[in-house]
Amino acid sequence: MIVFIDSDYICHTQNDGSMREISSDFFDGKCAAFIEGHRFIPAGESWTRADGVVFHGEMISPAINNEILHRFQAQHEADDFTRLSELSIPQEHNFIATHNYSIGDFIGIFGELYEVICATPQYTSIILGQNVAKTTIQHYLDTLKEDKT
Amino acid sequence: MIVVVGGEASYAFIVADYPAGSSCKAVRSRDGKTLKAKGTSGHFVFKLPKPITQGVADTWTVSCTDGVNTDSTNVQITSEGQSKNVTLNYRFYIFKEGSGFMNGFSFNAYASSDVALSSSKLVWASNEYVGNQVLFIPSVDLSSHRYETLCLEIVCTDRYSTSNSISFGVGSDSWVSESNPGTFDAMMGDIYNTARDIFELDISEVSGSSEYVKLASYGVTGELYNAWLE
Repeated sequence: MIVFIDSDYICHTQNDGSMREISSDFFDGKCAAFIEGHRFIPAGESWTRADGVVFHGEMISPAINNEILHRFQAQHEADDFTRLSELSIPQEHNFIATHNYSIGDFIGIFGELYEVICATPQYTSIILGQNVAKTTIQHYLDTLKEDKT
Repeated sequence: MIVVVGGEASYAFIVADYPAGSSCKAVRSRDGKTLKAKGTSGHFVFKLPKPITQGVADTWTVSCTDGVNTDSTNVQITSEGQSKNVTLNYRFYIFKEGSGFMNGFSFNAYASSDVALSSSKLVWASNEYVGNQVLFIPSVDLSSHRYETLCLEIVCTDRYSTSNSISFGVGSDSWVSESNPGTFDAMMGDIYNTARDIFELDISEVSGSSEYVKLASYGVTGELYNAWLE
């Protein structure tokens, strides 16, 4: 995922023009509040904590109490699940996986191709779609949204 | 916080927090002037003697010991009325060179047969395509923020390709598979050092009450000599 870091290495989801772009899968599936509560030190660079300890990159660490960040993320996921539930996606297209897949992954299950469109931060992912290509499932979801409205 | 009342030049202070049960002292570097904390409560305010020359830094070394462990830090005092806070802590060893695992720790690896343990070091190997995951058990409680830094002293001895590296950090879960270390709450990545070195990770804002120290390796063989929290 692409995020942006400011001069104090704090992450942002929007670039105000003064930030640098970095890419890290650490933030895949994370909400803006979670991302912006972290610090990313690129390889070859260093950051000095308030107590004088110098940390070298590549390092990713929470910049604020990460219990709060996890609460933000949990709320974000609860909102996402609500939204998906409202789409009335058929149950047979909804799977709980036993591995930690990322959004956008394609997975073969019983000889058919599935796409991950919603992933929890832990070990399981919810996989939606059946024997479809990426563009097809997006169209499928768009259709469901239109039906809903 | 020190509140100064009155208009005359005030004392300077060093507010020290250190492990309860330990003795603590502050020593001025230029003349060895020593102040000792009263009691072993883990908190003491050192009132520094006057005069303090405005703008001229006096270095005080604040240290503590419980008879076995020690810790110290330097503080710069440049003016009267100044107050500086210091926090001292002892290293909490997970693995120590010459002693092996400490404080009840052991490890759980995806490919345990590729991990060789002695009292001096832990050697791990990992395949280019499947990697290896080393989890140090049990988990540690970081909710009190007593520990702010995770340190690993390691060296990488070989790798399959220049794209291979290791990462380490803390996370609330175990490894998932040979190539998946699970989640990290804080991590260092892209490590491949052929000279023995200490890597420090900021965990000051990690609040989990059950956090595992993890080492994730992909196509890298390496050696761990020390791992500690401070």
